[in-house]
Amino acid sequence: MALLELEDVAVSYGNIAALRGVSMAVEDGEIVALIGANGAGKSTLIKAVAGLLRSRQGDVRYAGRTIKGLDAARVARLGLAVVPEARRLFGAMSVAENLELGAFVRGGARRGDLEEVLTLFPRLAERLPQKAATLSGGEQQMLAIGRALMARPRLVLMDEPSIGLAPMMVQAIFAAIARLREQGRTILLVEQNARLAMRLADRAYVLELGRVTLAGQASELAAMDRIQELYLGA
Amino acid sequence: MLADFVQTVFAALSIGSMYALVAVGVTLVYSATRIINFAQGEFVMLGGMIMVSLYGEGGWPLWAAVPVTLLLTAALAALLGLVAYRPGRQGALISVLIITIGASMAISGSAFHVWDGDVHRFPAFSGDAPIKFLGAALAPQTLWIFGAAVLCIGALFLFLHHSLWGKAMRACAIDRTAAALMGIPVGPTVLASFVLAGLLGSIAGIVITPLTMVDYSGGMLLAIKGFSAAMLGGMGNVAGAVLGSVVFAVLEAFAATYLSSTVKELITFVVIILVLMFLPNGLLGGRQQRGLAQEDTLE
Ligand SMILES: Nc1ncnc2c1ncn2[C@@H]1O[C@H](COP(=O)(O)OP(=O)(O)OP(=O)(O)O)[C@@H](O)[C@H]1O
Ligand SMILES: [Mg+2]
Repeated sequence: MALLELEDVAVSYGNIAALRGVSMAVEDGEIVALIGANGAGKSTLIKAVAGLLRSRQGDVRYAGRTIKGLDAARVARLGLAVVPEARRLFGAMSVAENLELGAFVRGGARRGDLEEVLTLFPRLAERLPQKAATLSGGEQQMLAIGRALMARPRLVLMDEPSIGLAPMMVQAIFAAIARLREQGRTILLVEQNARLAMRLADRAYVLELGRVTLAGQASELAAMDRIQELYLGA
Repeated sequence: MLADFVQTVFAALSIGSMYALVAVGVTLVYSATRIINFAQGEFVMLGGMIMVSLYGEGGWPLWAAVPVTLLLTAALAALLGLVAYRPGRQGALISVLIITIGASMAISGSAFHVWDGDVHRFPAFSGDAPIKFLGAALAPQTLWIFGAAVLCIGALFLFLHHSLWGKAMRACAIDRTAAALMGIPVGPTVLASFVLAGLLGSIAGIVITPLTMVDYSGGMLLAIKGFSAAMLGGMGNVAGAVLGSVVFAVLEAFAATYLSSTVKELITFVVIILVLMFLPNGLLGGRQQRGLAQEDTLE
């Protein structure tokens, strides 16, 4: 049984249907890429899994139980961490405090938690006492990922972690995700940068106007003409 | 006259402590909810009134009367939080304002029926024999008032900055959605900020009543003072609330001594109008807590 399963998930904002019956799965230890154009419904899907929005039909199952209808805090306590769109750091709080709050689900950080995140992102180590709002865009993204990892989650949902970053920073973020992959983490990676995402992912889904239009091995999808044209700019 | 001056400083000390307890409560609830709680002063009144019944007239010992008073006011504060705060409600600022003003009137009206319209007090905790200092007389209760303010606000500061739950409370104030994604139970945490604010007010009422006396109607004026002090310091900022309270207390105390007590009230309102017009973020407003993104998707 998959760790995360979406079955016929549909979400609307008023009259606007953002997701129209989406089914997908993420297996334990897998990196799954979710790609799609602006407005395809990627962030909506993340929010529907995280408990910020509710699907009006179908089901969302995590670790064998339904999580549809649970609020976000409950979902988080089940070991599902989110790197949200726009990062949503606690800007007026320090880097250290942001990381500590990441471990809130486990009653606060334990020995070794912080060290692990700082090994992944050494740049954060020098900035621990600094307010999160004063970090550069790339550092903020590192902090957002680090904060999610502090929960020692079983599944991480990342919503466009490389968006708006300079090429150097995009490389750094993807290098970190590659390290997480080596550690055998389970990640659902929403990305605009389809080229890099497909290179890292085991499998990928393509979302168009709220529907999954293609799914399969990332390498196979990346080789398809249609994907090349639409998302890889070939 | 040195004695006058010292006496005035003593007055500023007790007024400032009381304002600070109220203002910190106002600012705490504001930063967690963006609600200006005009019922905050009622907790001061209730703290005083319940103590009048238990400690003053009931003859309960202090160690029993104080916890019961705190418990009762905390319960009422939680109730107010439940009524005033609805997560996800948007654009209803004015209706929430009316709710807190209405709650203020309901509480003082009920107090009139439960007790009466008279002015009450109960004995000071360490007697009334003044302590002489540089020709001025210090009521021992002033030390209780000052001590309570320093202890409570200090404890609150430690809680907010050095405990996980305190940090979680600050996180909820900055970005509720992100806080929920961290697994923080946002609703109960916000409710806790109402309870803490109610407790601060209640403690103010418990220590101040032997000096200032209490009746059912005093809450609203106090809330306005607390709001003004919080505004002056920068709404949403605990240190600002304390600073604003000190400024108002000093202004009022010195105006009362060297001008007249009618001028005293005037000064408060002139200052707050100037602040609202020219310094809407307050003295420490630049450091106001803000999230990076405030788009609210939490229902
Ligand atoms: N709060 C909202 N209210 C109304 N419509 C919304 C809201 N949020 C998203 N939508 C609409 O739902 C659709 C899907 O939005 P979503 O944010 O999920 O897209 P996305 O794939 O994440 O896009 P992007 O790549 O730009 O982040 C879009 O048409 C968007 O306009
Ligand atoms: Mg998006």
